[in-house]
Amino acid sequence: MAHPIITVEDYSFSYKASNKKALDRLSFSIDEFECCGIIGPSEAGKSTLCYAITSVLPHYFSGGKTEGRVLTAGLDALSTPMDLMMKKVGLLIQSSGVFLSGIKPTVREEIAFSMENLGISRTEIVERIQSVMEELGIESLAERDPLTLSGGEMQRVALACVLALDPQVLILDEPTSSLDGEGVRDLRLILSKLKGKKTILLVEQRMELLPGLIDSLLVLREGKKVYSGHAERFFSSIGSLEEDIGAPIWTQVCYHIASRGNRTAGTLPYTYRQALKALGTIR
Amino acid sequence: MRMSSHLLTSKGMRPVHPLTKLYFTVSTVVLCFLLDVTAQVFIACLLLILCVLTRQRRSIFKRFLRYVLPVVILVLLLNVLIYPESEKWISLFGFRVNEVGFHFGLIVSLRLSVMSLSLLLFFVTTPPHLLATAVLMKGASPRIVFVFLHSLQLVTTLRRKIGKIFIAQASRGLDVKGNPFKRVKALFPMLLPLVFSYLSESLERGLALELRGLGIHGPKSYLVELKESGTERVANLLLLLGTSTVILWKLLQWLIR
Repeated sequence: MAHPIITVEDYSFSYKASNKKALDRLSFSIDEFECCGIIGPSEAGKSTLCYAITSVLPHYFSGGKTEGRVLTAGLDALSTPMDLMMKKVGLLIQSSGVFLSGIKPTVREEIAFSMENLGISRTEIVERIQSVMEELGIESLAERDPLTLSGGEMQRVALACVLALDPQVLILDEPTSSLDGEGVRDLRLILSKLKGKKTILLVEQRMELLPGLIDSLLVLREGKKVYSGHAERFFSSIGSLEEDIGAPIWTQVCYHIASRGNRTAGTLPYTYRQALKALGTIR
Repeated sequence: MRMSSHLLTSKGMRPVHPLTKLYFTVSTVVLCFLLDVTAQVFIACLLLILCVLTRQRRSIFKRFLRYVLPVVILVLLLNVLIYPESEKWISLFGFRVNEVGFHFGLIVSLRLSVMSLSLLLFFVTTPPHLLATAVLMKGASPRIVFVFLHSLQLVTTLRRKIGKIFIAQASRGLDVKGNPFKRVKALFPMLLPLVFSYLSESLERGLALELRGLGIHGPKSYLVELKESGTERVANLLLLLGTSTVILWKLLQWLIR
């Protein structure tokens, strides 16, 4: 039976010099090896939540007001030092170009950077680099200058940097923001391979990436939890569209076609295949 | 590793440990200010030989000719033409020049050349990341090293960003081509976005570096291992001792006088 690897209990956080709560009495849990999508409009607190789980908040954004408890991989995320936490949780921030150190001359050395900081032995670093590059299919980039890579390649290298530490939990904060269609497809493929091997938290605005990939969904708005549970249940209900949270484009199309024809949409399609089927019946 | 084998097989200055090169550069710069002309000429010859031996000789001499030589000539000319309190004149290539000013100008120009050549030799032949690794291995603070490295890359980064903003502004109808006056004028509207984007990027990069364990205390490991050879260790010690002795000797001379 799966047990929770991330537990957030009544957690609130407001940044220094801000009266507004970035996260407001948030409670949820994520099971081990679960793939959870986190969605919500701008300033919903998605990135702040990622920082809270990875213990960045108390260490990097000091002076903020914190209430409640966050447990990540059995560690208290509010008091655990970042070096301990980074062995358990890997966070890939939104801008992959900035995530790279900017001073390493080759991709191979860039991937080694975090491991060097943790003092992992050279032999193990070499082994892990090889393994993670094979896993992500970036062996050909090994000797390239990271700063000359394309957006998609940079994203893969950044992901390799995180995966090289072999974290139990992988958090991706809007990983598709700078990717083109092909890059998104590649990332989806990589995440599909990782699913079931790691606990994945995927903060995403492109809803089309989520169906078939995520098991559960956490919806935030203004720091508060709007929904937490099964992803398909949320998107299949009209509520998701009425609350203007966003939904895969095919779900939206089916909803609008159905409502224009004064027909009750009933259960909305969640996946692309379901949408094709539904469109067939509407016609 | 490609980098380490490259280090071993390349000719010229590359196989030398970055710290040895750093000590050598600091020593030559300090010594060219403290020693007399003969010693300066000797250092200049030594630097020239080293420059010729490096694979990056073309880059070094190109930069020297482009950036340093005009300054050196200007310094010499200024001293020849406007050196004060001198009545001695000599004839040089058919021109009547101030003798003391000419000699003083030569010394200053030589000093400037030695200093520039030494710094060029160091910076052109030492990749910043190797210098960083060498300094970190000696126990330097990672945060300070990274601030230093990013400062070195500031010009390149800003140039890249300016290029992008130029294209963006041009697409919005701003006239960014033409005479230098127009280009300078076009630079002002892009200053604000440039500074803001750089600041926000720095904050994000700071966070990313923390997430990647830069601030972690404790032993670190290195993929590219830089080992000082016995000869390099002796050379470092000799450079340190030699430079310290000259400094002390000059200090003593100054105190006695």
